[in-house]
Amino acid sequence: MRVLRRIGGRLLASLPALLGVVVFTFLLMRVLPGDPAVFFSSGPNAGQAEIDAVRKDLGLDRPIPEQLLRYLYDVGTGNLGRSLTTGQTVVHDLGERLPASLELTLCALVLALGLALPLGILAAVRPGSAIDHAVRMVCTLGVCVPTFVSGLLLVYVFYVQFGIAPDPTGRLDIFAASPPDITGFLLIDFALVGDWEGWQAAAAQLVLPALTMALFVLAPLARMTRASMLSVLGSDFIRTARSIGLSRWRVVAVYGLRNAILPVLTIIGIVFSTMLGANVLVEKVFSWPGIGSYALDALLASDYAPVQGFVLLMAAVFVMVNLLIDVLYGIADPRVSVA
Amino acid sequence: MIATLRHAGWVLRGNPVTAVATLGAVLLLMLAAFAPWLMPYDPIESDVASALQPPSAAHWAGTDQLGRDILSRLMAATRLDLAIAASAVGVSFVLGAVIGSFCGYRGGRLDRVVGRVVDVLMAFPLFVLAMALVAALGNRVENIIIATAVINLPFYIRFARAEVNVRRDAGWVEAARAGGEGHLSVVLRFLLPNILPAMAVQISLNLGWAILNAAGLSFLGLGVTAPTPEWGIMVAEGARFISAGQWWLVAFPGLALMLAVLCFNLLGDGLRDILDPRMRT
Amino acid sequence: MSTPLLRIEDLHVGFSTRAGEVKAVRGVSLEIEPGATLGIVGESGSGKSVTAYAVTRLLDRAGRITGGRIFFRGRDITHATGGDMQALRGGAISMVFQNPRAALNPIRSIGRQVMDALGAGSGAGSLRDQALALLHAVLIRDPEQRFDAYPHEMSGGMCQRVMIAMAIARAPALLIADEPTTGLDVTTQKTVMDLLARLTAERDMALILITHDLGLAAQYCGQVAVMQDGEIVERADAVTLFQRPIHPYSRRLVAASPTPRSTVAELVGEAPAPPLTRAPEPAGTPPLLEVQGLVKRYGRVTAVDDVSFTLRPGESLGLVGESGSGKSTISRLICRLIDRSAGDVLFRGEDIGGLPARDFHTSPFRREIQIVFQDPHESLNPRFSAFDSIAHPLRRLGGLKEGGALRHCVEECAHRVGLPPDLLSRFPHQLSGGQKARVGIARAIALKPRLLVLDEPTAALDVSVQALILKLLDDLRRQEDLAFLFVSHDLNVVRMMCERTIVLRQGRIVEQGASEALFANPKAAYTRELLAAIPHFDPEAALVG
Repeated sequence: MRVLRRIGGRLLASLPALLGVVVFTFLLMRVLPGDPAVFFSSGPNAGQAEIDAVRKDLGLDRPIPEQLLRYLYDVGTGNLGRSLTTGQTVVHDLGERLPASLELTLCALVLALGLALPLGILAAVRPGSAIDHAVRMVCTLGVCVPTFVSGLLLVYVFYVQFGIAPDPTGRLDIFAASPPDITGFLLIDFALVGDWEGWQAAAAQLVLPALTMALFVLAPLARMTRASMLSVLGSDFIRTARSIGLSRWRVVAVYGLRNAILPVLTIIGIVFSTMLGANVLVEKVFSWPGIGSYALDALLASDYAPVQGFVLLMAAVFVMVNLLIDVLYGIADPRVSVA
Repeated sequence: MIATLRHAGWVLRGNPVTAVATLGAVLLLMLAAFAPWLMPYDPIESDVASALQPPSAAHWAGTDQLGRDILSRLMAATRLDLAIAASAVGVSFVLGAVIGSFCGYRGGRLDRVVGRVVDVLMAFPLFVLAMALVAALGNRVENIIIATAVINLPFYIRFARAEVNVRRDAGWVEAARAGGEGHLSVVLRFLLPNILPAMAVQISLNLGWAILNAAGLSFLGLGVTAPTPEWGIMVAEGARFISAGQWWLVAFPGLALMLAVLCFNLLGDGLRDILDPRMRT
Repeated sequence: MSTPLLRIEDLHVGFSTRAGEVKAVRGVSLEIEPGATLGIVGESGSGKSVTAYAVTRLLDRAGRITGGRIFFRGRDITHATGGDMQALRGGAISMVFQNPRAALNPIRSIGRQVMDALGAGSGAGSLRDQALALLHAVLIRDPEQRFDAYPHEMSGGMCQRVMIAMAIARAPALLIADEPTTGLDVTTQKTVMDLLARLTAERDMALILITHDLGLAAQYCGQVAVMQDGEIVERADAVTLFQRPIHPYSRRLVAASPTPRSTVAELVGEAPAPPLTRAPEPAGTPPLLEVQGLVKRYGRVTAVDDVSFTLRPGESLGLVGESGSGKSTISRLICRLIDRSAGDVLFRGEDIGGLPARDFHTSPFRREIQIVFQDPHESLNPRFSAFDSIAHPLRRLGGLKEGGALRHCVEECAHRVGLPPDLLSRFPHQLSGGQKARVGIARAIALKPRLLVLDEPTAALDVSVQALILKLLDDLRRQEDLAFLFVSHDLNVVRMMCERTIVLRQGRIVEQGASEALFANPKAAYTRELLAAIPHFDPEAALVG
């Protein structure tokens, strides 16, 4: 009950943020250099009459506040417009491509957490040791390598040099058969129909991009884990735990880790956001058919409805992720009030 | 002035890593300033006859698909990349420090609202925000700077807010008021100078981040356009040739990016250590 | 003769820092018999806590035992393995720490933490019952209900009781309490200390009490050891130490510790000053400060509730109370650093309460009311030299520009507060606590104000430094006819420093009157409670008893 009320409260609290994003994307359209009507008409060769028709059709001849209301109404009813490049509605396009992006991002996040947490904890438990120095070096170097460079270098090493990775384009080899579209997540869909060969092919395609993205966020996660664990292990209540004769393992696991994980939980939200952004770069490098590359293609083709839709979707995902983290935090930390 | 330099020299002797980073940063700045006189080849003019040559004595970093010397292009790009990052960070630092300090000092409802907005902004996918801004404002270098400045701004606001907040109730701030200072001059003449050293750390760390962001945008084809030499574009152009095994087109601009970011990050970490030995981790 | 419970021989402890090794403990030897009580008293940096942490091996990573031996029940534990020490801690030796709120795990319920301290018992059900019994023993009301509470839901005093419950859980033979009541209010301090003393006596545990408060150690411990710079300079039973301290440092310490009878002059070993006599004021002179019905609200919380008092020129008035009494808020209201919610503040008959605090720096009264802040470390701008700190009000409000006149003025102020002129070029981090306090006072008196508000001016100082600063303040007031509004939680200090005293509780005045009368014969029950809670040691009474 407490948790439900918390979720409800948080959802309400995130409404202004969402509304802000909607207004922001609307304003983006307004401040665009040039005439949106020109963009939305058939092409650069469109005649004045056609442009005027489009302008009237889009309601661009109305006063701005009215346009904003119309836009809010459209967004509220799920109408994000139509993409000029694909000819489909933006909602349809995004829905088709979102699973690809999410699959990539989530795999990378799991990979990064699986590496960063143990590394950070080990480094903090033995400060000054070889593993500590190694982790610190990884953290320092990790944030310096841009994803688009590390991705390309991984391709060079594992595809070009060793030939152990598949051709780094797309989610599946062009000759492989796609699974039936159940969830859109290839790994899950292959598993559901029991096609393990296909599953392996999909996983092989996923490894390099996921690794690229995981490497990018490994550093901040490990750094935060280490710092948080160090500060917790140096705090008064750890001394208390030792003074009552708890075993070292219990001190680290029960008193240390559970407290140290709280700041890490907070940063996971920020890390996830960073990954959503980095998605665009990684998807471009690996020709991954996700929403990032979709939005980028649209952006470069001056096709603005998909870009708007993309930003809105990002905002929605971001709100959901933060909500989830907030709820987890509320469960993990009794000091957070229910309000 | 001499005393300050001597002190800096003494500090750097005890922090070899920071000393190396400082040296690296100075070299980068020199390169940015004197690149036109140091470049072995013209960075723009193409020479198709010698295209796609691997690193050699004549071309230390090889040549690209148009036969241009990669090393020369890397050197020429230093100025543009540093200029974008530095101006973006400069703008967001000045705005952020002032807004953050005033909010942190005043407290109250305005501060809570600003704090909330900043928190939301910081958790938002900032790279996406930068993309959207460049898209909206137009595909030009100035707009890359503006976009980078905007996504840096929340960090400075939050940082300045927090730093001022912990000092706001300190005795020396109240003493300044008892000594006849109004609120405005307390913020500008007492609090701001006190948080500047800590902000310097933030600036240094942020420069690296700004370089990455600007390069990322260019990599996507936003902002700087070919044939202007810029690290991100060079990687993007080289990406086409990686599958053919021509690694130097990507590796050297990547290395340049990495070293530049590493320099500023290490410098920031070093500054933090020097300013607050307790933060040493 | 039985073997002592704990024997320390020539213990040395060093800390490795960037500047090289710092010797925190230099050759400490002491022993304690089973069931005995020992107080270890010293000022900050004397090595008293480090000694305790060396015994239980809870030193920071940087700290290391560099010499000497520690015996527990005759067994050498100086180099015992981690496992052996783990078995000793909690079971044989346990500790109670300073700052109880931080010493408890913030995200684990207090009941579970007590159960952790009990260790692997016989079955979970009985473990919970044992934990409940312990909570009951440390006088936690309604332990069943409190069992699942978290530390942040409890007061500091309550947290310290939980900490004590954890420390006595496995009936250790020795309990080491490290400043267990520092930061707690005086009445809470008394209940916690009484509880600690009673429980250790009942359970036949030896107690080592580490404290900076000589009175507290003497009141609760049979033996007291005085530490200075990592060495024990004197060890004696409490009565002997108070009546015939031998070592010059212990003599100074005993003299500097305020007692219900001491005077400011006695603290620094001088003859008492004659009582102040003031020329009668002409009739009709308004009081220097008149406060009527002062109220300050923060949201729904009323920090100051209908407070009225007056202060005549040259008079000293004490505001005393525990945390949350509103005394610091009143000092800032009078200083016009914050705005009142209601009421009047009249200075020399003129209303200054109505001027917004934001504009008060332009008022001619700004230079007349100055303030000395609590923590000397926090009260100086880290980027100002001592000279600049003192010169600041002279430049801003005194109209002095750079040059000889300003330098002369600053040096004169420094001289008045006993600050050597060669320290003026130093920055705060290069000054000691006492020196910083002097800079803070010099800054406040630089403009020759008529009213000086002192907000706990010595609370963060060691007792020997406190004695010097109190003497300095008292002399200044006598020489310059300054009026003092002296805010403090320490009743002894207020009694010595102030002619009149106001006792505050939760923003309201409980009692006010002439200090001597108020302390000798308190009217309000709360005042009596406060007075009774002051740790005091009366050697004569102890002898008779």
